[in-house]
Amino acid sequence: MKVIVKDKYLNIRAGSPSLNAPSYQYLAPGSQIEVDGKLYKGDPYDGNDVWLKDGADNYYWIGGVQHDIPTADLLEFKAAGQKQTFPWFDSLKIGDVWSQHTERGARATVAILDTGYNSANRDLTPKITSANTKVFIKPEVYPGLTLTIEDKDRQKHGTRCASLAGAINNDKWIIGVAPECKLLIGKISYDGTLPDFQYILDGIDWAIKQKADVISISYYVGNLSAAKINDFQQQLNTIMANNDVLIFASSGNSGTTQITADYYPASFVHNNVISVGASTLNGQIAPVTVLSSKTILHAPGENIESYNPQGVPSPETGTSFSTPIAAGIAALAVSYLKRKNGSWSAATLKAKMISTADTINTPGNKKIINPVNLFKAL
Amino acid sequence: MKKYLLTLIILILSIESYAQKGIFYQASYFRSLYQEDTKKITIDNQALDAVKNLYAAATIEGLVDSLNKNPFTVNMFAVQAAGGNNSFSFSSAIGGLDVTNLANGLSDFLIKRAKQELTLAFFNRFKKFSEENPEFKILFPKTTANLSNLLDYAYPQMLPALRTGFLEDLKNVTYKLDDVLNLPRYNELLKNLPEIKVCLRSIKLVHQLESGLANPAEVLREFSLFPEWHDPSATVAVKNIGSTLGVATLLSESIKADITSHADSIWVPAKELRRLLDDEVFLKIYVGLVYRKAQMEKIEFFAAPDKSRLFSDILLAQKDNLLTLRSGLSDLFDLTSGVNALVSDIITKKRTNAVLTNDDYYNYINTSIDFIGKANAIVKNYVSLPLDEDYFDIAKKSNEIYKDVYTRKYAQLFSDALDVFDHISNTIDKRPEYQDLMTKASITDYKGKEKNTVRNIADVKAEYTPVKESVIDTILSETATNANLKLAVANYRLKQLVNFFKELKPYGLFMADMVGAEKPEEVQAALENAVLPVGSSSVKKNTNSNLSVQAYLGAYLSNKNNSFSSWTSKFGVIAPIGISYTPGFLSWKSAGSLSFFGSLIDLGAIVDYKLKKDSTISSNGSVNTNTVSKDYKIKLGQIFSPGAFVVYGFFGNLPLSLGVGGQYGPGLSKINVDNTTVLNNPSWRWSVFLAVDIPFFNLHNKMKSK
Repeated sequence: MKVIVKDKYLNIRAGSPSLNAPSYQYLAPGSQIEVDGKLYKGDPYDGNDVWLKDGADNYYWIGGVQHDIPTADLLEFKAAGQKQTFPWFDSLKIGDVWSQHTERGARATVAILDTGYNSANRDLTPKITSANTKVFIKPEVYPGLTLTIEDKDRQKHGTRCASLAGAINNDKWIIGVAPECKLLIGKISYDGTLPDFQYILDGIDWAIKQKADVISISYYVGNLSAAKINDFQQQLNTIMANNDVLIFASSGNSGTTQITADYYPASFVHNNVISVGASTLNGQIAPVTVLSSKTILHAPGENIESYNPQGVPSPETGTSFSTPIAAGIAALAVSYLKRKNGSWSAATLKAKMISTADTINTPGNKKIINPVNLFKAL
Repeated sequence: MKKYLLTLIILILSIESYAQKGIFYQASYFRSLYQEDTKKITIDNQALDAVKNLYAAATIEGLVDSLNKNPFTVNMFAVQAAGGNNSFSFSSAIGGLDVTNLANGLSDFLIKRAKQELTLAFFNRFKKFSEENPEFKILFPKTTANLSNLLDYAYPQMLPALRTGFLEDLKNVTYKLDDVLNLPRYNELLKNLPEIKVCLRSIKLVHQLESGLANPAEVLREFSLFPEWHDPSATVAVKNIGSTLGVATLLSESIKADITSHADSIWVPAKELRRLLDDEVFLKIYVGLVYRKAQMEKIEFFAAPDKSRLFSDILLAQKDNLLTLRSGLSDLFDLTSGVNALVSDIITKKRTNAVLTNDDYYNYINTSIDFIGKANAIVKNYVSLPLDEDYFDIAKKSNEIYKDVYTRKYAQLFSDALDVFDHISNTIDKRPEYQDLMTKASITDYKGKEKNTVRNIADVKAEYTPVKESVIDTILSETATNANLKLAVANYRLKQLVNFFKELKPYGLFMADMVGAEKPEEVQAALENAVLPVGSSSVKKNTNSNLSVQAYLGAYLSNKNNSFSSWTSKFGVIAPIGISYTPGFLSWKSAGSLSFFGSLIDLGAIVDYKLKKDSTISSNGSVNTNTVSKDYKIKLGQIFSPGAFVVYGFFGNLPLSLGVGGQYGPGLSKINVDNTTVLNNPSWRWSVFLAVDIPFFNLHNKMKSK
């Protein structure tokens, strides 16, 4: 979008929205500037701390230009405080859902079955108690290692997934979709491997007993025998019986070549199990997604910022990250329904999540989750 | 011929962007997935693509199973069940660079100005040589054509054309080698000596590198694919050098740079490679994948024709001790920075529109060859097997030829071109079946008509002696019953070829000198050098019979004692010119020679004049700074000085001679300080002289066997 410099010369600040940032040039009144249309928090000047940015990473104090940015947007921006959001978050308009429905998942419980969590993470630790955690992996599989709920994975996979679903967003950025939800952390893997599929079922069972509404499993296994699949399916059916709980499971990741396969637990046949694929931010199925007829719902899965091993957001790609995002959105919906109706139905919510999702013009009736539409339908 | 080099380097880099990355990156990828506490590498479907050139697994479970069976990475791998992305992008792109403005640095070599007097006799000899040797016609087609027309033109007018022909022929001489060896007479040579083909291919490869048809990594691959390495008649040493190249190629390709991050490099930067060497896990994964690749390529080393060992097995034997390999890799990797820096420099220069120098290309090529040699050194340290490494020298020498051309050192160019053949000859001489050919029963007991010739041509150490083609034909007709005769003929043909190049040398150097000469006096010097080059005083010390036109310049001690005249002084300058004859039995190689010298004229007094003119002493003892400049005419009668000497040519190839003899005359005598000349009557003088040996040209010469 274009903005025009007002009646005073305007400094171009290089690199950051700061009055101390280097300025190598200033613009005469009437000069046009092409900016990216986003608002940036910066140094306050004359009581206004909103800045604009161009494609070359130059910043312009918004008070020095004429622009067409709606006042509501400016107010919302100022209300959002200093927190940084990321493209996947913006694309889903989660912020709109929060503000329009005053819902941040407070009445929902989300279980993350993964590699544990990083206890040093300030956006997770305050909301997780030892009673809400459980380790399912067996010491005999990891001789010499102490098995705790602490996330020891090289990538901090469990921490990433947990933060996407329910980080409280106390830090300078927004990661968690349902920041007020209760988190349950089940450790079914030490390092991203899954030595025993039973850990998943044990984790689901534990989560349900802990009153989880939503379970997020960013794991998939492809080499199960038919007998094993049948056995696990039966166990799952038993565990899930008469429980209103939604399980979100990764459809699986392809390599450079996108593959078609049915991975588990995403492919279990159950009304309350949702296979989640990864979508791109421009509304396509991400190539990383393993294609499966069992996978209808997709959520952003390319370059998703979440907490990395160093405790700051960094992007990663995979259906692993689509899954807790979808689970977090479900948690918002569950909490909203509980608040609104006092109860909720897993099957109904699953149906609405799919029916309100945006259809992708691809074979197989694939869809991309749409939280705004979902909340309209609740 | 270099102007397309950069274009093609960039083209190759672009092509590489579509190719799979090397083992370094694959190992690096796996290393990044290594979890320190579990000591496991967790991989997902990304890995299927990442190493599909090494493992054709359909599922990730199958791949993990295969990787866990690799002896270097036993049980290191596990299936990643988490849906996080183990990102490893193969995608890449490269911007096109404009390379249309490269100048052809070699196009302006030809000089326009050339005036000289040429000696008809020399050119006639040259012409005769070109006509008698089909090899010459092939190697120097333009020169041959020019020489054949020589009598139709006056030499001065012909000179520019000759020089152009010389230049064109010299530039292309190594390209023509193939054609020389396709002469029917060399059939046996090619059949029995695959090394010859290898050498020729080596030279061609360097040309490819020079003209930008390949980068060092690709040259290495091409080198390793020579069919001659697997020729049934190839020796174990030759096969092993082929296998060594296979290993070197494997290693080279294992560290190919990712052009998305290192667009200006061919290999992964040394700094990153250092990371591999310093990380035990990384190194183990890397060697494991190299091992896998070696298994697939089945590179075989031979201890004997029927005893071989796979490189992968040799590698496997080092499974628990990677120190030796690590050390070798370290040396190899150190070299990559040199090549990378040069390539980067070339590309940077292009980007900034700086002029590329031939040195850029030369250094690029030379460092590349060094890399090949270094890779060879690794294997050599690693396996103790017979190897033949002369090919690298040949490749390097060919690059020198390139440098000689662009630095306009044409004489050196010719010497280097001849060196290539020396290398070929040396390579062949090392073959064991040739070493002991003459002691084989089929040769020693040979009773055929040409038995003496057969024994002679079967001796690899014997000097070349021409044999009539009809005799060779007779010997060849009997090869069906005596296979060693083929080897003997091949040996003869090789010697014949080398002899051709020896005989060619003076003409070749003359051509080179002529092309390199830019001033008339340089052209004159080239001609004089060709007539009898410096250092040819040693000819008479290595001859079976030598007759030459000859001069000496030195000091004499005579039986006279009249200081008034230089001729009659006790000491003085002597400069006789005449005919010298050295018989074989008086030619003692490094011990010197004894010649009979008949002088016709003596320029002693003139030389005396020349030598003294800057230091004439006045009668009052002061130095006379005025040089003598009197117009002084010499008549034949004043220098005619017939005489005879016995001359000893000094040992150790010193160009000094000690002569004893007598001569008559001359009438010419001394020039005084006051520029007055003093004539003296001719008379006989007996003297001993110590002089520099200056042969002018050989009238007849037959070289002695070495």
